[in-house]
Amino acid sequence: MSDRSLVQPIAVLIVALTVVLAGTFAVSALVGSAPTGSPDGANIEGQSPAQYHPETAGIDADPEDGELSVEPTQDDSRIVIDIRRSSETTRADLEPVTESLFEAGHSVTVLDGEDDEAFGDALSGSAGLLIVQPASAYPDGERDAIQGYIDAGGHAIIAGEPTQTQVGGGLFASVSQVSFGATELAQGYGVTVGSEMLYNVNDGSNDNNFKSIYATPTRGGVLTEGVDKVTFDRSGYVATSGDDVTVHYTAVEGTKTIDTRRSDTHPVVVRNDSVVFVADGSFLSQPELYDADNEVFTSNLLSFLARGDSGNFGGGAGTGQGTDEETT
Amino acid sequence: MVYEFVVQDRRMADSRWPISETRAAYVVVVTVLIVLAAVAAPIVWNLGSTAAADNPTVQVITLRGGTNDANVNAVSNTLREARNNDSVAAVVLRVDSPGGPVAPSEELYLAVNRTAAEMPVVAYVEGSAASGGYYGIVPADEIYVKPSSTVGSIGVIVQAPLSAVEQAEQVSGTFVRSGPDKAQIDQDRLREDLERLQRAFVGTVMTHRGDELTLTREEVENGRAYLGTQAVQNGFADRIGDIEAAIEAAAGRSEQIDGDQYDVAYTTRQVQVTLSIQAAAVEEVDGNTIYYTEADAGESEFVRPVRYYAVWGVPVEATAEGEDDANE
Repeated sequence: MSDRSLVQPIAVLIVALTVVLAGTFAVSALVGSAPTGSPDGANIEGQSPAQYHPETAGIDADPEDGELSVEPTQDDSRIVIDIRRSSETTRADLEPVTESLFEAGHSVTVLDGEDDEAFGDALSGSAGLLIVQPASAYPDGERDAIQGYIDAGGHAIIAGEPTQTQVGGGLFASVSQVSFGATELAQGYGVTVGSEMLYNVNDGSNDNNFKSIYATPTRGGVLTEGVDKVTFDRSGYVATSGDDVTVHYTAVEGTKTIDTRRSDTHPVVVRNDSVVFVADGSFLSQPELYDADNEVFTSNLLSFLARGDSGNFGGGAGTGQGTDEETT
Repeated sequence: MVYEFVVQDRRMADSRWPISETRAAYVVVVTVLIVLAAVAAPIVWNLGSTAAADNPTVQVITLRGGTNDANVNAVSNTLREARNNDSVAAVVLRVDSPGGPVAPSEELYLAVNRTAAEMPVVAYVEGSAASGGYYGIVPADEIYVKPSSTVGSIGVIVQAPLSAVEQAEQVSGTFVRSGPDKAQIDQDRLREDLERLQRAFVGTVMTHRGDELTLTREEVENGRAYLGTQAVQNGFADRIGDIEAAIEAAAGRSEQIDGDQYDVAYTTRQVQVTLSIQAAAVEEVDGNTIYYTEADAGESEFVRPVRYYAVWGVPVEATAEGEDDANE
C-alpha cells in the first residue's frame, strides 16, 4: 500500500468533516441569531414592582404614646362606672382608666353585677357616672335615679355602640348580635345611637382598618381641648332630637354608614348639658385607648365626670333590677 | 528476484480484492461520513425546524382551583417554559380561581407580570378570577369575561384563631419567651399587617388597571366582586368573549404572528381544586417540587398563628356557625 493511496482518502475525510462541522456551526449560528426573546434572568423590569415597596405599601400606624391625665378637683371626686350591661368591657379592661382617676385623687366605684350595692346608693355622693355599652335596658327605677342624679348636678357619659355582630372566644367561637339596650335612657336626653356602624376605606382617613374611623372636634370646650383627632373602632353615629344637644365630634369626611353607604356629616360625640353621649365603647380600653388622641379625649371625659356634683342627691329610687320592672 | 516476488504478491492481492486500496479507503471515508451525518442530522434538523418551519404558538395556560402553593407553582413553571420557548409568541391565561393565600397569589402575579413583560398575555375568566385569582391576571394586556364570570373582590382577610388572639398573653405564661413580642398575637399588629398587604394588592390593581377602571381607589378597596357585564363597564375586565376570542386577541397582539398563521397549544395541569381556605394538606411530587402535609411538619403541635388570604369567600368555620354575613 502506497503512502499516497492512504493520505488522499484521509485528507478527503478531514476536509469533508470540516465542511460538515463548519456547516453545522454556521446553521446553529444563524439560528442562534434569530429572535429568542429576552433572557429569563432577573433583570426584567417589573419584578420589584413599585407598589410592593415600603414607601407605597408601608403604613403609618398611629403612635400609641401619651398618657391619661385627669384633672384633680378641690374635693376629691368619686366616679361610678357601670358595666353591668356590657358584654365587651370588663373590670380589667378599665384598669388604665381607674388608675388615672386614682392618680388624680379620685375614687372609682365599678358596678359589674357582682355584689354591687344598690344603684341609687352607689350614685349618691358621686360626681359622675360612666355607662359603657349597655346591651340591655335600664329599668324605670334606675332611669329615675339617673334623672334625679343629673338634676342634682351629677355628670354622666353614655358610651353606646350600634347593633353589631359579636364573636365570642373560647373553644367554639359563637356569633351573636349585640345592640344598644339603653335606648329609652338615652332618648330621655335627646340622643340615641344610629342604626348603622360607620366605616371609611380611605387609607389616609382610617386607623389601618375600614372600621376604625377617625373623628375630629367641631367646637372648642372641655371635651375637645388638646384633641386633634380620635379613633373609634366600633363606632356608630349619634341620632339627635331637639335643640339642647350640641355636637362636639364628627366623623371625618368620607366616612359612610356601612349598610346604606350614606356619606354625611356623622356626629359621634354629642352633649346635652350634663350628659355626654359617645357612639363607641372601645376607646376606653386597650388597644384603642392610646391610639391617635384617644388618651387626651378620655382624660377630658374623665375630668368632665370628676367636675360633676350630685350635691343633695340622696339615692332613694333605683335600687336595682330586682325591684323594678324592666322596660325596653 | 526480490522485485519479482513483490509484483507477484501484488497480483495475488489484486486477484483477491476486486477494488484498489485507494477505493477501499474511500469506502471507509464515506461510511464514516454517513455515520457522522446520521448523528448530526437530527440536531441540524431540529435547529433548522425551530428557526423556520414552525408556526408561532399561542400557549393557553389553565388555572382551575385556588391560588395555593401547588397550583401557582405549576402555573409559574409553565409560564417559565413558555417564556423560554421561542415558538411561543403569546399566552392566554384561562382562569377559574377564587384566590387563596396571599403569598402564592403574589407569586402568581409576579410570574404573569414577568411573562407579560416579554410577550402578549390575555386572560380569559372561565368562572371566576376573584381576589387572589384576579391578583394573578391583573398584569394581562386584556381580560376577557363571560356574563357569568366573577372578578374583583380585591382585599385581604386574616385568619387567626380568636381564642389564640384573646388568650395569647395568658397562654404565653406557660412557656418561656426570649422577647416581649415573641409568640404574641396582637390585634393592632394584625391589622397593620393586613393593611400593608391590602395596600400592595390594591396598589397592584391600580398600577395595572388604573387607566381602565372607572372606579376610584376607595371603591376598589371596598372589595366587591363583580359579574362579567358589570366588570366590563367598570374596567375590571375589557371585553365579553370566549376563549377563542381571547386566543385571537393574544395572536393579534403578537408581532411574531402574521394573520392566522399560528398554532394553539393547551397546557392543562392536573391542579388541585381546593376551595377551602384551610391549610392545603398536599403531599405530592411535581417535577422537582415536593409538597408535604403541613400538620405534621414538626414534632410539637405548634400552629401557625395567622394566615393571610386573598380569597373570594368566607372561612368555612364561620359559615358552619350559620353566620353568612361576609361583610362583617
